[in-house]
Amino acid sequence: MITDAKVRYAWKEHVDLAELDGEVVLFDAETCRVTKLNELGGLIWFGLRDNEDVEGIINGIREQYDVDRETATNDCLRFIRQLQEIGLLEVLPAEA
Amino acid sequence: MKPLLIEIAEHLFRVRPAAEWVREWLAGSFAVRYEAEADGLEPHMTVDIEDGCGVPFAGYDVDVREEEGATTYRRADYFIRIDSSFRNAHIGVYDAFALKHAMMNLYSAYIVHHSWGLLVHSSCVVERGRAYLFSGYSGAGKSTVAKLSMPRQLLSDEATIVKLCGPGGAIAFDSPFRSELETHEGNRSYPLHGVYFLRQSQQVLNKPLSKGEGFLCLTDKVFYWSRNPQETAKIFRLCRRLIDSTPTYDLYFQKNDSFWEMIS
Repeated sequence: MITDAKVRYAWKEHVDLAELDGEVVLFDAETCRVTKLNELGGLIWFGLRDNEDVEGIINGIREQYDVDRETATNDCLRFIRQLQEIGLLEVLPAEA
Repeated sequence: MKPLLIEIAEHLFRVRPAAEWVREWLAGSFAVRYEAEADGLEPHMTVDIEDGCGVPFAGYDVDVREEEGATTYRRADYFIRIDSSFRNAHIGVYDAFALKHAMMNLYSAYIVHHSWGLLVHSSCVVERGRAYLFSGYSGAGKSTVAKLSMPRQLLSDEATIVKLCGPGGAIAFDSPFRSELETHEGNRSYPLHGVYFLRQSQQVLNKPLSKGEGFLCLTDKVFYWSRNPQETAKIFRLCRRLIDSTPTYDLYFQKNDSFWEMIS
């Protein structure tokens, strides 16, 4: 489980992304797997794209959906964990 | 044996068959350009084809490898070796069925390599100067739709050749890669006006898809055998260009031609 709210992530090199009228689609060129993100996934993706840390993304979810911190944190971390498990996302080294 | 110049969409292939039956099959399956007519035209690729290779068809899985400056596609009943310049290829086949699939494999690799376009698992029909593409898995109704659409012009009943033309859209070409309906009318092409994913149903319904939904439906309908992640990424970008330029729909249809009322 990810616990460090300052962790930053990046998409793996072989992952391509497309924004299609506000929808986000991910393509893994190694497995040819295509993943379409739901609205929450898209929100998290925009946060990751903008190089936000987990804390910043959770705050964004709370603003958008008016949910408590625990719910936003669980949703965010579950999504990130799923992306890691299917090989789309990796942890960036900590900044010095 | 004298080479053949065969034309597929905008591409000219100089083919050197080693066997007479291969030559006859090619001449019967593709648009052949004669030397005089093609004078001054440089073939895009030279292809040597030999027979007597491999064993009878044993499955659709293709083993793809990159080695010694070339890419090799190998199935039980055929192999293809394409040099890294994509100017020369060597094909070995067991029979005509293998030759047909090898040519599809080669052409798909060629057009994706050049980011020219896609070979899409679909039928394609022309109505009032516009092409409509009907896509789906085997058994979804591609051939049925093609038959029900007669006497409209048919561009394909199995694999549609789609050229991506930038922001201007996409163009569908008459495809020589046919399943059963042979109605070649030369290398004609028409602007692609819609992509319809087939769903057999008791209803007739045309449901517009979002670009994301359309993208998901499209990507696994492309004929392509991945050779490396960089090349495979081109499929993603080509699909995106197609989705950006052409509306997509789920088409629920009965086995009659009433679906055309929903389209045109």
